[in-house]
Amino acid sequence: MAQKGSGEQWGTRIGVILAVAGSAVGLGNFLRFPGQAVQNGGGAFMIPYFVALLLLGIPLCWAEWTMGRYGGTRGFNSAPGVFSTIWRHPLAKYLGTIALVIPLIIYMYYVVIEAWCLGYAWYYLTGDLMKGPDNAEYQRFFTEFVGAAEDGFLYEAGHGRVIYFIGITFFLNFILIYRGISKGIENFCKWAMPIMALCAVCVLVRVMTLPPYEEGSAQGGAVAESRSVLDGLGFMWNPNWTELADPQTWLAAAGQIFFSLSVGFGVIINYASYLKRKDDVVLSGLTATSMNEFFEVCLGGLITIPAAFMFLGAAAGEQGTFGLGFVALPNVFAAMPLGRFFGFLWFLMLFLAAITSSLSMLQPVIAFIEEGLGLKRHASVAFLGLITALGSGFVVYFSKGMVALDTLDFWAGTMLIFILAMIQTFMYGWVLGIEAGEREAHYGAHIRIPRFVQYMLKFVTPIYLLAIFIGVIYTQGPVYVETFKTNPVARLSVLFIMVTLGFLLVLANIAGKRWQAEGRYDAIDKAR
Amino acid sequence: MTPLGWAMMIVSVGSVLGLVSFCFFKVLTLPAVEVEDLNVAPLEIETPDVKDPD
Repeated sequence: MAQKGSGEQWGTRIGVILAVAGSAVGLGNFLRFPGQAVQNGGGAFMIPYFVALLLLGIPLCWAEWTMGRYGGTRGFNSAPGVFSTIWRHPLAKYLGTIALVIPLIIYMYYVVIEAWCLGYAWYYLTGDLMKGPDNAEYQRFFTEFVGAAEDGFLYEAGHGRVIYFIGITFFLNFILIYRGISKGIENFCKWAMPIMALCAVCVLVRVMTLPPYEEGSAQGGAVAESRSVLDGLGFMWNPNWTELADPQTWLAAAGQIFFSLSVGFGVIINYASYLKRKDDVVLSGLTATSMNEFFEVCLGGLITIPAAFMFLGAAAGEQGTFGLGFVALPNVFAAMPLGRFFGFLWFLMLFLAAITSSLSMLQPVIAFIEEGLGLKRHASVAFLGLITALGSGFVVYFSKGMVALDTLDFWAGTMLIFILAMIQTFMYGWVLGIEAGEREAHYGAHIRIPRFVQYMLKFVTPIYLLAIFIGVIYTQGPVYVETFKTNPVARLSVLFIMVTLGFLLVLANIAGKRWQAEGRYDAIDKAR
Repeated sequence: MTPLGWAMMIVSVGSVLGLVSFCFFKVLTLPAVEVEDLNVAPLEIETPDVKDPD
């Protein structure tokens, strides 16, 4: 029997690379990475960071690309199907549902943050975000804009302007996803990625050419302190070697690499499944990874903290991701010459970075609905639109202190990702096997993976992953367990994840029966 | 900015720029797509279900 697939494929070699890089490049590159670096030893942070990139990030990427193409050439694009081609066991399709629930849940809150970026870009265009030097003004604007003061605030009359931006963002995402892999995602990433790079380079040039900022002079008072861009770069890059002795630094670096590259998201495996048998995965995977690193280290590392330090001083290093991105940086743009224009460019870039990522979160689930339930594109998009709208509506309603968003991010966007990554290394290293994996990876490859990487994937990467997982549970787990016990919104959010996972498990069961009846499993066995 | 700060920044940014340049050089100088591949060029492939949505 002929292997049945969606028939969709990437149009060009560079298109798939840009799409995967677009999936990885997001707010974390520009906001999370600089914050993590400055809080964990500055320049010294780069040592555990690059170690994690080499031991964890790049090998996992190659494994995911390889397994994705392996499943795709056997007629499956969704993780339950791809896992079933690698591990011919009824459990495989259920394990694959973790690769669906992660992007699905993350999309539900990520699209809200994406809408904040669009909203901020718009308010720079209209000038409403040029509020002068008072930091409290920006905090007030952000709190009101995202409804952080109370639950249900954004649904009250006159307070829900962010909902319009969420509507626009949803519409854009679903139009592009409806158009398909090549015409939608690939075409969009092919122009969005260069525009993002251009915007970021413009902002970088602006930051690097800023005159020294003299604190106090804006209010007409005596100059208390003068800070140049070199002071800002020093704040970001001067190494504090003592931090290397702190396990927390190594944990933070590994966590940053892990989340930044989108490994364990269920996205790469889906995107790679649309490759042809002869398409390269080794060079493509490395190129997408290196592009992500370019945006993170070369742009994020040189822009965000140096600019924030110049205008805000050492307080710039104490901000969380949202505080840095949506409170501190608007304050910086207000003090910067031509700040309104550069503020617009910055948030436009963040919006593009976010949309290329959110698109990649929808595609794995669309692929599963299509091939698992046999629904057509229209029906799949409508079905997914309804589910994600309910989830995003939940996040928007429970906006107080962003507890719902934070809880979903920890349990689905952190814990489940580690679990999926461990499952994937098990699938690659122990089920598919490193000999078969190496052979499969090098089919059509334009560069070779060093042999030791295969052994690393089998033995070192799983242990490294487990160590980080335990570290995260040890350091962050108690806080979230306590929140779970005391906050009903946190409990509701965890329940929401469990219901979604349960729903997907039922769908995986239905899909498995359909694939069995259609003889698709037999086709896999014959192809072995 | 201390000399060690400069060193960390230059090595980090330089390594990433080197890697990304190497990768793009390799990708952009690969041989053109073969004729047999062009016969099934994905750009020619319509999303199969759009024509028959229901």
